[in-house]
Amino acid sequence: MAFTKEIKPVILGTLVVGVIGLVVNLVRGDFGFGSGIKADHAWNFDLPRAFLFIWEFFWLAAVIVFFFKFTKNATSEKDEKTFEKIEGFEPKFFKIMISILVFAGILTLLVPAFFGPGLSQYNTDNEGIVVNVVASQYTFTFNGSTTIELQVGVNYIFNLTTTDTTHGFGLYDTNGILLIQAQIVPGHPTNLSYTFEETGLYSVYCMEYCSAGHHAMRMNDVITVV
Amino acid sequence: MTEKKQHLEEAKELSMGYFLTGMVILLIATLLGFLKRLSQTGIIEFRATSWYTLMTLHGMAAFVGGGVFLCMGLTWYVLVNVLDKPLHSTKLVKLGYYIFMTGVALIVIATLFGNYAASWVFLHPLSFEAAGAWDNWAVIVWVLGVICAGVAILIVEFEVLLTIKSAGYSIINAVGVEALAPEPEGGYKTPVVLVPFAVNAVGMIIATIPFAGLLIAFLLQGFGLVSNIDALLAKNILWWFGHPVVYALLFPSAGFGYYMVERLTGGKIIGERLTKIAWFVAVAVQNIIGSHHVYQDLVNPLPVHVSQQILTYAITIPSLASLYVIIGTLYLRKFEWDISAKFLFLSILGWILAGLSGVVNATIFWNVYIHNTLWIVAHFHAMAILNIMMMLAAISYFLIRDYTGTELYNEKLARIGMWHIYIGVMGFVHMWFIQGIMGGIRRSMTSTPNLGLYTWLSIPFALAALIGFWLSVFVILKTIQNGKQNE
Repeated sequence: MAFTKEIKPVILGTLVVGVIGLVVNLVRGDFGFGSGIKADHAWNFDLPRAFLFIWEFFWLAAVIVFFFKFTKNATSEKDEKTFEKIEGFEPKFFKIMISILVFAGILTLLVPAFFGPGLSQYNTDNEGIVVNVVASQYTFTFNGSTTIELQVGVNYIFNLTTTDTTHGFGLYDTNGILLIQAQIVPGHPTNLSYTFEETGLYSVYCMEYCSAGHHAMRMNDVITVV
Repeated sequence: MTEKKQHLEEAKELSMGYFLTGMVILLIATLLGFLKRLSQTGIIEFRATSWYTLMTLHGMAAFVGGGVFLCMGLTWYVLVNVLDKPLHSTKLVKLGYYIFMTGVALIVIATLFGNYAASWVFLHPLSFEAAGAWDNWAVIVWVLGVICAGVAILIVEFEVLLTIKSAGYSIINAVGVEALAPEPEGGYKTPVVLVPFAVNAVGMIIATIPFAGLLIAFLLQGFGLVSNIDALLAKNILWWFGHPVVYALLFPSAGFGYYMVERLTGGKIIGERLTKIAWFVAVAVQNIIGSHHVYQDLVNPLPVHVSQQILTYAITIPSLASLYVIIGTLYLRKFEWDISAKFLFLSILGWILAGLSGVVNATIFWNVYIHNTLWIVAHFHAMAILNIMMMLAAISYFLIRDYTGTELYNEKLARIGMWHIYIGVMGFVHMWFIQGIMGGIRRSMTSTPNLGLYTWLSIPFALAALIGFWLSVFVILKTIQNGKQNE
């Protein structure tokens, strides 16, 4: 029997099980229509984020330009000279690309201060005031409390632990900019060093999926920096 | 029927079996993805457990299910055509299929009936710390399903290597080693098209073995026989496998690209030696860069983090090589802009964009701002759809035309489908990029505050992509039907 015929019952059987499961899930899951969320919007940009924005949209524009240039010139057989030019450029292309990669690698590893913490985020021996952060489904506590007051200009060591599964500690400022983050892995207490440069209210969001209440593990304005 | 024709027919049957299965799984996965995005606008609503269940199923179905099935199906087709020899063992190919499908069925049961929702990466110990969202039996069924998928991957990747070997080629040369020596008179022996398939097969076999150990440990914990699996070790092992499994789609896609360029232009691709050397770099590093997924696990040793950035930059070399030779060959030679050529060219553009956004993920000082944000979701959807799926669509039109012996049912409709997919995906992916840049958290049922606008804006694009995908499937199915009628 042809393989495509042979597998028909397998595909159909799996599909039937899947469709039944999906229907069961939708019914059990209180599936229904809602009124929609607010189309809220804020430009949460700082320097690194502006750079990322430019990076992505510059390349998108470049690809679109390339699309039109290429489709205009392609499909015709090129002469021997063009062949030699394109084939001959290949080793040079590689040398240029590898040089860029090496240069970018060195630059991004050794000169990160312009953009953010870089490798310094891995320095766990910093001196500072320890704040014990305990993550558990679906909340954070700071020195045993759900809120905390900290001071501007002081280096804090957030000692991150979890009581259940892996969580992520994401520190957001008043404008909703993600300042720094770290994973909190069970059995591996993690020190994250941070100095607040401005007063205000800061939020802590879970950055790692941690079961069905993950989206609710967002603690707004829980750190007050004075 | 001649022997040659017989093994071609046999390979086409197997290819179509895998291909159609992958297409069905993808149809469901795209629908789930759309429903998820729609629910984030609040137009439709799910209970949280159901939303995360669908998220888990969507990820597994789209990438590991649909993607792997499609890729493997098209791999059999290309191997037989390039080697001009039969597959090493059709029994192994069929065995791989049935074991994979058993895995699919188990995963469907674990998610849709057991509410298992630890996402397709199921970071340990989430499976066993569900906060009441699912039961232990669902974990066991899920792990058994993933074990089946792992065993199937091992079988099919061994079959790829055995097929290359049984056709008279050396595996060592097929992973690019022969290009370390200057090109001999008359050229290298191994066709360059084979190289990405061989490199991927070697990589996946190596990566699957430690992952299998991890799965068995999970299974033992599920049965209460083990209690203390180190979460950080588990995470590193998971990504040891979890990163190369992306290459199980990306590397064959590069091979499909080479194959199509040679068929479209009727000549060999340019720059064979450097391309093979670039792939040899991939053999060396593809299995040791998974830990770039854990840059924000500050407890991993510093040398590991630094080495991951350097090695991840190195893995861009085969991508650069592939882009250069495909674009260069298309530019130099005459070819017809048929539907496959169009899909191929758009795939190359998608590859450039997806790759450049990946450089951001791989760079430590940027990673802190985008790790686990929607930027990552944007990056892998760009890679998975704008690059890989477009490439698979391109070659699938070759397969369908060869298989049916007829022209496409409606090339105009196929073109409309193509543009709907491309513009739609480009649109919703860029909404994710913006949300990610501004700290929008991934794997979350609800939008991060202040980013709701972009969720709304992505809906028309997502709908266009869905329509495009279903239109493409319609054209393929109608072409197959026409082919059968002609028989």
